[in-house]
Amino acid sequence: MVGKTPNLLTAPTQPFDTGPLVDQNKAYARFEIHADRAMFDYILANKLYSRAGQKGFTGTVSFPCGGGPNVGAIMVKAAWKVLGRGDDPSRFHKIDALIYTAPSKNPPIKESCVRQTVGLVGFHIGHRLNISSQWVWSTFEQVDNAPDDTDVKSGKLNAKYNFFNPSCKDCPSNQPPPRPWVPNVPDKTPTQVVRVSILPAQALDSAKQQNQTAQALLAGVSPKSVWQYYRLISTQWPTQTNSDCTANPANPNGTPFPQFLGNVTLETYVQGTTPQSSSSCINCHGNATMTTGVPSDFTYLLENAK
Amino acid sequence: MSDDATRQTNFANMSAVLTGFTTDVVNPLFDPLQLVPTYLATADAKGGAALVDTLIQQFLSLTAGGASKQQIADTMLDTGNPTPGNQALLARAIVKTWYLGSWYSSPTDNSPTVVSQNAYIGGLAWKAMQAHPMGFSDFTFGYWVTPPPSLADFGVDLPPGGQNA
Repeated sequence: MVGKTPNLLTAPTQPFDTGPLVDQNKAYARFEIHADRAMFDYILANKLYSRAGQKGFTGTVSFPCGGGPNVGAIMVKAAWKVLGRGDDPSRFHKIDALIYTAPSKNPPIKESCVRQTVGLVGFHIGHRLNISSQWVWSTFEQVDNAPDDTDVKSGKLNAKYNFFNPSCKDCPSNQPPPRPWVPNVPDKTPTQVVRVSILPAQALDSAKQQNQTAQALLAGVSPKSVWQYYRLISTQWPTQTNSDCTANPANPNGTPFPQFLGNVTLETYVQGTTPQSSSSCINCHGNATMTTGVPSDFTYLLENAK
Repeated sequence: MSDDATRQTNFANMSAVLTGFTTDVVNPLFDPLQLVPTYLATADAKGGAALVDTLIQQFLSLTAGGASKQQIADTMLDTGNPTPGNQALLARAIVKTWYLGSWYSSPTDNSPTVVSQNAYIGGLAWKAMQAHPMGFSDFTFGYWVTPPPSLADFGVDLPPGGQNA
């Protein structure tokens, strides 16, 4: 939030129009992307904020890499849900936000903008480093989002989740609601989200250790900290890369580990282990371009230029 | 290092020499695709662990004797012999698996088994062609308008003179 102006949340669907995420109160989750100062300054200096600026850009897009005193480029993508009936606000990082829905003729959608309290349910942090020109991608979630597929199989379910109804036995999992998608009208079909087991044991064990350490530190600062209700899912990094902010041209994505990584609030419908189509931060973002078709250094932010 | 780990390392080093790729490519320090253990298990299952061990011993013996990589490969693959023995056939099958991601049970096998999806996308044939697997590419949009990266970038173990030697 900047001053007294609430955050503005607009995007109601997940990447590549795979679908919206509908919570148990039938409200659409909203998504946003933020960039840090280093990324902002690079975009500004190279006029990459506009289509005209991108057209005039003749170089290779390369955001600053962190190392030594330099922080480097960082971007954050976040998913928020409207806090409503049955939600415990003490378990969420929450903000007041203006939720804007753009008008549309097909499907018919009335423009609206309402102020609501929203809770953070998931976020990615991407950080470009000298030792990782493909960026390092960490993804986090609120702990009440959804059960693992193994929990569903064994029946070890919690009483309540943000995006899963334990009493619905016939709800198909990880399916977007039928169209039309109208973000400012309660949907009939809450998403029945299940986390698909895709992480190797090495990644799971590492995240578990990191979470235990971080949650103990947070509890030490304040037993009421909402951040104790968030957890690292995993971090994807290139296993084969250079140390000078460059990549091997024959292996531009650097063979990421873990091979697949997704956040159930941000990649609900593309969880899996199929190369080139299941969620993998680096492999997906490696395809990102500007409006000109020129690669945009692992960010889709620049394709929004007007 | 355990016996299993040593055996796996020896198999990886042997595979690098037989395929002509660097050890960094065949057996990277950290391998998300896990091709070495997958191919070793495949060779054990299809060719027999005893024969795989014999092959590894032949490799270690030739290496200890100071043979060049080319000499080792020629000897183990029995290059030029149209009717090689089982040991050389196994060496050839292992090379084919590294290149094509499929196991050929014999030189005339027309329906090889695809080992795994990672074996397919990790096939060395794509690197030798300076290309990418059909249906899977790590290259950025528009890569096709520029010359491909060099064979060295793809991890081919080039002679001292380089790509054009």
